[in-house]
Amino acid sequence: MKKLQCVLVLLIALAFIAVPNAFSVDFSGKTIEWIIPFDVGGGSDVWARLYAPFLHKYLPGTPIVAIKNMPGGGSIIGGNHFASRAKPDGLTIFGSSGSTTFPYLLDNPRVKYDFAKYPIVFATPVGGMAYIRPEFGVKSVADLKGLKKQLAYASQGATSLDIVPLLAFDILGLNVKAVFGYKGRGPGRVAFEQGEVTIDYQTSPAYIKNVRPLVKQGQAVPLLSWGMIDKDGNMVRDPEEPDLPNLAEAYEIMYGKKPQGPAWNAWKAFFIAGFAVQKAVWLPENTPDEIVAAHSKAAEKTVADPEFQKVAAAELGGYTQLVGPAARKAFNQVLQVPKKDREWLINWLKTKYDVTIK
Amino acid sequence: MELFFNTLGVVLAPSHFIMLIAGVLMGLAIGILPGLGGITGMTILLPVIYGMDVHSAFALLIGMVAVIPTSDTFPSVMMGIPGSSASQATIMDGYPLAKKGEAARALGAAFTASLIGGLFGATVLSVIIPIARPIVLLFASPELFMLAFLGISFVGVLSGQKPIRGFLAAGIGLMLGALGDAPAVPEYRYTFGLDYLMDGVPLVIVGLGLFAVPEIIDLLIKGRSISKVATLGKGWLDGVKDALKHKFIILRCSTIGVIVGFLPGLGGSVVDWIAYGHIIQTTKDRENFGRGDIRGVIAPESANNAKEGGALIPTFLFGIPGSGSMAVFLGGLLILGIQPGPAMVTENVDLIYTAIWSLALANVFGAGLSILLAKPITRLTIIPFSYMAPFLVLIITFASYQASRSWGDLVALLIMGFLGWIMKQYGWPRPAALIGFVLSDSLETYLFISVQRYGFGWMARPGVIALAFIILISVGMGIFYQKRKPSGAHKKHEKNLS
Amino acid sequence: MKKIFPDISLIFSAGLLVVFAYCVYDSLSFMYLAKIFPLSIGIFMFFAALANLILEIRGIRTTAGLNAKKELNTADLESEWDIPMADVWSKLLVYLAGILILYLFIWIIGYPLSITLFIFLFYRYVAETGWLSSIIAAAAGMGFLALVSKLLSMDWPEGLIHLPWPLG
Repeated sequence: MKKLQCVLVLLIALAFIAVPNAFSVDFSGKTIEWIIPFDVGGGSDVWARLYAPFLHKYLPGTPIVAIKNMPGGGSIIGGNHFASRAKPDGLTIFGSSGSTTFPYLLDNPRVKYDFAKYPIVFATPVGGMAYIRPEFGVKSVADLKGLKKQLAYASQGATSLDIVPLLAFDILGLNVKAVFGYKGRGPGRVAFEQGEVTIDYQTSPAYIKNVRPLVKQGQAVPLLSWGMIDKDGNMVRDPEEPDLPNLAEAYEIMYGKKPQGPAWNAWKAFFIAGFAVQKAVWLPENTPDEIVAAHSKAAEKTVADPEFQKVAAAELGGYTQLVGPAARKAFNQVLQVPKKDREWLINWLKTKYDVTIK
Repeated sequence: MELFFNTLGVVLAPSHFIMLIAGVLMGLAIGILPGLGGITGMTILLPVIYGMDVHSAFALLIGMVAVIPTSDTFPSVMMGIPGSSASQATIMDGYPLAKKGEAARALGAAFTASLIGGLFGATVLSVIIPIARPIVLLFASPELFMLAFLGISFVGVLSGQKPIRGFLAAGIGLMLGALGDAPAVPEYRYTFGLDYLMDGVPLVIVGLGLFAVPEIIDLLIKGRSISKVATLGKGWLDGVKDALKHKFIILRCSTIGVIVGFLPGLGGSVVDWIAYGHIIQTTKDRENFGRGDIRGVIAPESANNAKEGGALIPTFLFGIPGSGSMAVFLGGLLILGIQPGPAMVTENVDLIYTAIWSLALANVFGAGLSILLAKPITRLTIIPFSYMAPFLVLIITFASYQASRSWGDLVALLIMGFLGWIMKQYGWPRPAALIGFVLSDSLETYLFISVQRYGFGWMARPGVIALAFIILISVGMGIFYQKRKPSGAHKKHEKNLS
Repeated sequence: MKKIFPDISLIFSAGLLVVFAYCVYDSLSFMYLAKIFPLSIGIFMFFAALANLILEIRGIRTTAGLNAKKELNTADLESEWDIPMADVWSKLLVYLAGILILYLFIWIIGYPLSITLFIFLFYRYVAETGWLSSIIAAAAGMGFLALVSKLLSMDWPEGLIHLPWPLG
């Protein structure tokens, strides 16, 4: 009997040890360094600083959460620094954005970080909505089918987040000339208002604030949204603009069938990387499970906090934040893109825009 | 009208006012140090506002932005070190004045001009706001290109007798600006595979390297103080009187400042050169420019404070920064949850007015405080330089390192320093190189976009033609007045003709 | 040694020619959109540099040319020396060497201690002040760094040998 009891106690003890236990982790008196590979005041910086005080509150031991800005190389430098220097002790986390993920997906030789190796803690989605100038007589996506006129789109560069709109326009069969050199979506929107470009998209917070008034004044016609990924990984409509079709629906409206093929697969992957899981927080490779669990738990509590929800709704567009397994599942859709689809995209960039990744 | 008084009430409310002053003090404390002013300073101070309540943080932010052009003036005048986003042209005449022992006078004039210029700019701005949006929308890429071109055309004015050297110096600046990532394609130019150069050479390092380093070395070699004369000459009061004497220059240049300032993306970098170039081109007796003509200080300083006010417009109405410091200011607004954009003219127009007047008020306070600081700080120009040198080395190396926090910064500083020193000794105008560097990106980008979008038809646009005309007139006037200078006989000849 | 003055100016002018030639050459390998600007500016500048070099060579042969160099108006901040240029260069090289040694120290023991030492040694041996003043000056330097690092979270380069804050 005693032997059995001992064995049982032993088994229970083992079970306790084996299950990643968030409560044995304690960061009291320590500082968590959150590397943000972007400038102070930029979108990702604001995002991180919105989260930081809540993470401070909910991480065990209430450690200081300090943002360390490391801009440079389009966020590649910060990523590389994280890859080579961060220790798996839970004291360093990395915040990536679409512009960090894209070079990674495009096999940019300068990239030394590998998202496949890092545990993801949480991710923040964002949506995008496309709109067109009113003078073309287009009232919705259905009218686009007959449009033969060349449209102009203000682009930052063919390997930036613009891959998503450019490829989307291509899939829809629009004749769009990409005008390169604009410094971001803000100048792009101004160029739209000036008539310098005729079709544009904005991320949801910017669309809500700046484009909706234009639509109301009749100076812009909304076309579609890229869509959003639900918790099971399906493409649905963007909750911020539920009346707008997502890209798949738009295609179906125009051509009567669902989109498919390498272009669509590539688009979906880059859309997820650039929007559905745009910003994400990572821990270094080989971080012990308890530490990952502690960070995930803090993120869960943050997302559930009504004060955070208020702030998130106001500044991040009110999308459901993805935490832990949901985040992993979503990002896996990005990581598991078949090589041939990625290669299709690289080839598309080369043939259409004469761009090679160096 | 009611809006005006409401705004004034908000601005003068103690809580707002105190934070404004706090912002001014913080900005001034950091900004006075060479290399840490301007954009760098704001970037360093910005994290402070996280977690503050919106109204206080807003006032703090405006205070910091307002004082950037003012604090930049100190290193410009005292050592000929251009600021990162303002007070660049001030080095041309400000520093020679300091060398003559008249630093206090230069500073006095500069701050008075800044004060009046800033207030006047705010007034012009308040009046223009209702029509601001359509005006900004008129300036698309082709027009912005012409504006950048106007900026570069002033290189001729700055090259004195040797235009070809000015042209080449500008070329050095342009190529240096092209170094790094190309504006629209993932191409890295002239980087020799170095990660450090991927983003190009930071502006701070170009400024400090080309100007600060050679000056420090030369002063050490000469073994004297900044000022050639052992006692301080005219004081700040004289400077104030000078500024008041030239009030038309102040009004003219601050108008230029506001108007150019409110064009998105470009204003900051060109405005003080345009003001400086303009004042030279429109003056007959220009022998002293570059040698300590007080008007060469008044003109750019009136423009650069007015410009910050003007730059609020694209920042608030379009969410596009009008200048480098505005870019960081915009970041600050986003942090506070204020999303600038077209909705602002209708929904939050009071916020815009609050900002304009807070800026003006902070300006006044900043300028006033700076005038008081002028006297003690200018004492530094008469102490033996070897007492200052090591601290300057500290500040300059430290400030450079903040650019990208890597060793590349320190190495680049040394290389640019050496280049700057050689240019200085052998008569290559460094301001021309600086202008070329600052404008390189704008010139390339806007030309690029214009050609892609409009083919060559962009040149036929009315705005472009108007600006081309202005450039021709300005260059023409420059050459015309230049030719009249050399001999008195020539002047007599002109008199006979008229 | 006296001959060095005109030669360096010439070397610089010639150097510019080489630099712009390289810029043009390298730009040919860029993508189309990245090529236009540097290529066109480079070509212009190459010819301008050539013109400048020719003018300079011709100018050297006349004394008028040497005098013209002093007439730079708004061109630049003055640089008149009352000692021969060769001496100026040797002093420059001394200061340059000083900076390089400073950098070496920064590399090894990190920024704060190096710069503090630099300030101390400079005050003591170049400005020739007493021990106490030099120490105070050095302490002020380190104090400034500590303050700015604590309040504004600014960084400095760390050396190979890691010293405790605020020394490294």
